[in-house]
Amino acid sequence: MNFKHLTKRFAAIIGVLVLAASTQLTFADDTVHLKDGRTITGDIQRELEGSVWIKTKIGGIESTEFILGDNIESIDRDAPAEAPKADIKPSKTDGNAKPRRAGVPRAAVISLEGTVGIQMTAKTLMDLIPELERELGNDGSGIVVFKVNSGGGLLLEIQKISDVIQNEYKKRFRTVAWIESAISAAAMSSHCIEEIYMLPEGSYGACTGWSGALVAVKGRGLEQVLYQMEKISARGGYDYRIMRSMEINEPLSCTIDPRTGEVTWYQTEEGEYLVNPADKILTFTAPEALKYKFSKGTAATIDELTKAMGYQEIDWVGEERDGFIYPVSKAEDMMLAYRKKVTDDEDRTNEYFANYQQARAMAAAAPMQTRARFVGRAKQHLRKIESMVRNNPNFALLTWGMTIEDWDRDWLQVEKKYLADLMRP
Amino acid sequence: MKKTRFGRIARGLIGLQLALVPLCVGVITPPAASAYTTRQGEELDQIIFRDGRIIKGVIAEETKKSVSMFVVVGSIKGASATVYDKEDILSVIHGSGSDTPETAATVKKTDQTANPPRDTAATPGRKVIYHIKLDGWFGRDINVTPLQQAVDAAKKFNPDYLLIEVDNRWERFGQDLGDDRANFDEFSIADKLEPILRQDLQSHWKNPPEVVVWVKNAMAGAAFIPFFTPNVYFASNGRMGGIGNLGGMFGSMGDEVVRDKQESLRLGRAKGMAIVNGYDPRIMQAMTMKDYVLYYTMDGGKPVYSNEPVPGAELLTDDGKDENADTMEAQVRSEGNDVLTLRAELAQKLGISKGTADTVEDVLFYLGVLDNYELIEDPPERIMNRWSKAIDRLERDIPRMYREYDEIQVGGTYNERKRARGAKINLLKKIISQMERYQESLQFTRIGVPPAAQLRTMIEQLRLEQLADRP
Repeated sequence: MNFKHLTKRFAAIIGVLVLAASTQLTFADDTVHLKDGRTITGDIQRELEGSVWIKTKIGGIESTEFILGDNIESIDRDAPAEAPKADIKPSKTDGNAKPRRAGVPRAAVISLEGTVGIQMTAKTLMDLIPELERELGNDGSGIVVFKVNSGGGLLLEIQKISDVIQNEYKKRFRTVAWIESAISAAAMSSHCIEEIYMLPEGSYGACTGWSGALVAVKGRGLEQVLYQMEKISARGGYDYRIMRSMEINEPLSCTIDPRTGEVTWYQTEEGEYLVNPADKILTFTAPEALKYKFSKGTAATIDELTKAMGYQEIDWVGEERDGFIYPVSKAEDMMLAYRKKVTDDEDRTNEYFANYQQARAMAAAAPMQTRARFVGRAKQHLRKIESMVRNNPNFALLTWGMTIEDWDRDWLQVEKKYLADLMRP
Repeated sequence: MKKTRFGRIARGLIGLQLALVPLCVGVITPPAASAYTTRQGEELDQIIFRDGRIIKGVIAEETKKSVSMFVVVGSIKGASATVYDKEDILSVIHGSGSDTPETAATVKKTDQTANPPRDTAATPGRKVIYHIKLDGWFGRDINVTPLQQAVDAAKKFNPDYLLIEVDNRWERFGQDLGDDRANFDEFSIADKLEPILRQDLQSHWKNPPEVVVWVKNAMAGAAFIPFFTPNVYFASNGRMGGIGNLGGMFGSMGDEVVRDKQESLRLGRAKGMAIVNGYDPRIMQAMTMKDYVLYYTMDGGKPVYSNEPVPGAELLTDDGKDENADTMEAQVRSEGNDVLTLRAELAQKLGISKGTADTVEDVLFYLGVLDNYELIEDPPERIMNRWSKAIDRLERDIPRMYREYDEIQVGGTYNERKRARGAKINLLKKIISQMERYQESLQFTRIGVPPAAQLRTMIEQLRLEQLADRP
């Protein structure tokens, strides 16, 4: 290879790098995120009823593209082109630009939504702690509000979530639950929190374990869950009978001492108030939860929540955003990003597998001279599967019936080796 | 070409012809006289289409459904007006532009629609009512995205009231389904509609409008909509119900305790929806559970509910068992009382309806709006219709595109095979994009096309085949 050829090749490489850099650097003003997942970066020239005309520049060539408002998910103005990554990563700088005010506690709302064990996991809650400490401080004055809106999920995740809240959150923050809807495993996961507030439309309960075609958990399995929830009830300071009536057909009544307000619970119908008849499963509404002193209060807004918690003022960390009734903190952004990725992965699990299997099969069948193409493709799909499982290790259990350690050793490494071996002559 | 006056006019005429042909998406009126020049300094109207095209000219006529315009190209104005369907139009700007490109700031100041924003300084005391009609099938025509779009479009009018007219279809082959048929599980859609008309307005509108629901027919999922607001009016033949299958929804499937749990969680959520707007949750229970007994008496004009027959009490719903079970005759005549179906008179008695209104004007009368008001109907109607038409179209187009995909044969030379695979991939991508955009309303059983995940796998298969084919 002569010098002239080398310089030509070098210049081409430089050109590509510059081109790549120029597309990144020259027009990084506005970013339009489309509903189909694409992003377009450029300079918005005009806007009309949510539609935009955006000027882009690629390789020095300018063009203006029209994007109908119906197709736009969101617009970042003067924002970097890259969409926020789905992997949870803590921010490097102080999470809140607002100066701290003496005597005013800081609080963040973290949404717990989706399926327990998939979108709502102990691992995610652990991962958020460093960011929450950055945003709220680590002197114990910070407040974390778990806003719960979930229809339940995996029984096996309940103890893990309860342990993280009990052993990690409570010792760092005042930890509070704000219930929009906590059903089944979601209620059971929240049950260790002493302070539960409800939104006016809130509901809490219906914790019967089941699987398949509405088949109840029975026998020893049921007894184990009942016992588990007795212990978790104690963590939250709740009479165990309440959760029991949420799990099985047990009556529940109570008497409220008119002088002290103290509530005495009965697993019979003898109390003054019949809370749950014997043939029903208990779900509290907000007024019921308040009346029977299960909840500490009902709050429709964070201002009402502030007062219900006994504060005149709280610094709610985060930014106001459409569709949210609370400011969205960086920790909450991490939760939102996690949920987006895991939901996408959950929806596309079969697709990931099918694509991987196709590429793997074609790699195995291909002659050596073309095999690398298919091995490369198979590796891409394998990386997606790996990313899915590392993001939520419960996928290893649900899909392979393995712990993540076993999955890594007995499946992932085996597949990686298989693909590597395919490239050996 | 030499730039002569003749040349300019010739180019202009050619340009006008070229402009008129592709831009005509509606009816073309027959040409009359030849083209003539615009007056100097005349401000042009603009039509901006939903695909980004902009045409300038002079609007001849604007109706609810169309705009006709004399298109101007260069300095030549067409002699005949072209009619454009408003369904294809993003915005109509009246005489606000010039021939020079506008900046975004200029556009924001001058952009107008057929209903310009209310100017309260000019007409103090004038009320703005934004009227959204929810008709069609619940879950298909009435769903989250179109309602969100309609409500978002209301913001710029700064309305005092959002009038939600509920009149969903509840029939099969033209025959009314009756009060006794039910579909509680459409609650899952209603649950997503609720924040659009309640929480989001309160949290994110500077001046949140009052939401008023006008019930004509609110059955199944639509029956939850009146619970979003305390301001409800009924048409004289209005009806609200069709959610009475919660008790017994799961038949004898599985274990009873799990069926109880499923009922309990659903009822809890539904009651929550009623409670937040001040409704007695027992009404929700009576509307959803067949075995729920409810009586009422009137005390000071307000209903007092009980589960026992106290003196003077009227029965709303019985336990629906044995001899109390509604007969077929009662069901067909809408005289059953196993579950509660609300009609105008009873709804008003129970304080759920604030009055009976058969026209929009009647509703406005109840709201104290007698005159000096602006009723905005076109934009939301266009939005809701556009969604419905899109669903209609896609239910035909998606199967057609899939057939086209199937019919493309991969064969011939390498380039022909590559093109064929590319065409197949593009069709699949188009199908996926449309399915994902409208999935909340599309009935996949009617479309008969594999789900998006499978289509994506098919795309990957084609890509692998192309890799194998590469020389």
